[in-house]
This record gives sequence, structure tokens and C-alpha cells, in this order.
Amino acid sequence: MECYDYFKEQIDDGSVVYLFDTGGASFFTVTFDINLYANHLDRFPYLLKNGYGLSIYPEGEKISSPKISNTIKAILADFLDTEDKEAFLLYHCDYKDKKQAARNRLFQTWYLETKQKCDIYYKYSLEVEIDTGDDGKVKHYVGFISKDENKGKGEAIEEFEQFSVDLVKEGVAKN
Amino acid sequence: MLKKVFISSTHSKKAIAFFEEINKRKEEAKKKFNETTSRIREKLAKNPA
Repeated sequence: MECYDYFKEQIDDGSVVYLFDTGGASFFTVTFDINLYANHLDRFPYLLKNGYGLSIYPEGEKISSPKISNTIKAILADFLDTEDKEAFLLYHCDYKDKKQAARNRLFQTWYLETKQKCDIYYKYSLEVEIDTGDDGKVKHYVGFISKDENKGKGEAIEEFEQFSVDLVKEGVAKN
Repeated sequence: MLKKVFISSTHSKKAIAFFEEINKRKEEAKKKFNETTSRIREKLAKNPA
């Protein structure tokens, strides 16, 4: 599997950041942020303790290639295999440019490609459709990835399902 | 596993605010990570792959 070389750095708060460039045209930052969702997880202690907010920030030319995909997949595997085997990588597909469905499909494709080669990861996906009233409906894609053998998987699923119930019943936003 | 949730317009304001806040926090976090990794970023810019 051909990949770009990447750098890894641990931040003081325990978050981890990976960086790689594709030869000057574009630059990628992949972050595992322990604080990203913390404000919303006070009622979900297992995810609060073991959850990392996963974000992928591309910069520069908008290009896609198997080598970029392979590198991101390798980074996710590196984090779950060596940094924190008990981690749950919480994700939310960016929606500001209305391309969240495409991002979700790409993410699912990466997961299935990885699963074909080594079936050791688990992905839980939540598709949230919101009726915004005047503008119609907007879909958001959230979920988590973990090692399939993660012993806390059941608790994480339970909390995530409760999270989805809360989202429907009363919303989870805080003022 | 895939689970689907529908939120009606009655409850949509808080859910929308939640997703907007997450987006905002991601942007703020990116600035923090950029500052923390500035030395590596400079090296990569000078010596691209």
C-alpha cells in the first residue's frame, strides 16, 4: 500500500495530530482531539473518557488519489493500533459546503476497503435528517470507529444510541 | 451498523445549533493544532515530499 510519509505529534492536552504533504500541492492535517466533543458528553461517561474527535483538514489544491486515501487509512490504523487501542474515534462529516453526503460515502468506502483486507475495525454510523423548516431538510453524518475487539464497544454503542435519542427529544446543544 | 434519525422542525433549532457549534469548534481546534505544529509545517513547506 503506497503512502506518503507522515509526522505525528502529541499535544499537551493528550490530543494527537498527524501531518503529511503530497509534494507541495496539498497538505493534510489529521487530528485526534480529546476536547472536540467533551462539552456534549457529560452524560456519556464512556465516550467522554475514551472518545477522540476525528478531523481531517485538507489544505491547498483539492486533489484526491489512492495514495492520499491510503495515507489517511494508515494514520487511522496507526492511531488505533499503537496510540490508544481503547479509543473511539468520533466523527461528523463537514457540511458547510453541502458535500457531507459525498464525504460520508468516501469514509464508508475507506472503511469497507480496509475491512476487506483486515476485518479488525468497527464503524457505527448515525444519519441525522433535520427538518429545518424553511430550507427543507439537511442530513448530517456522525458516528464512531473503534477496534472491533474493543471491550467497551457495547457501552459506546449504548451511549451513542442514547445520544441520538436525546438529539431527537430535546437536542443536545448547550447554551 | 447504521442508524437513521429524523428530527422535525419542532426540535430542529437545538440540533442545528449543536452541529454548528461542533463545526465552529473544529475550526478553532484547527488553529490550535496549526500553532502547535508550526515547526513541522515549516519544515514540510521547505522540503515537500
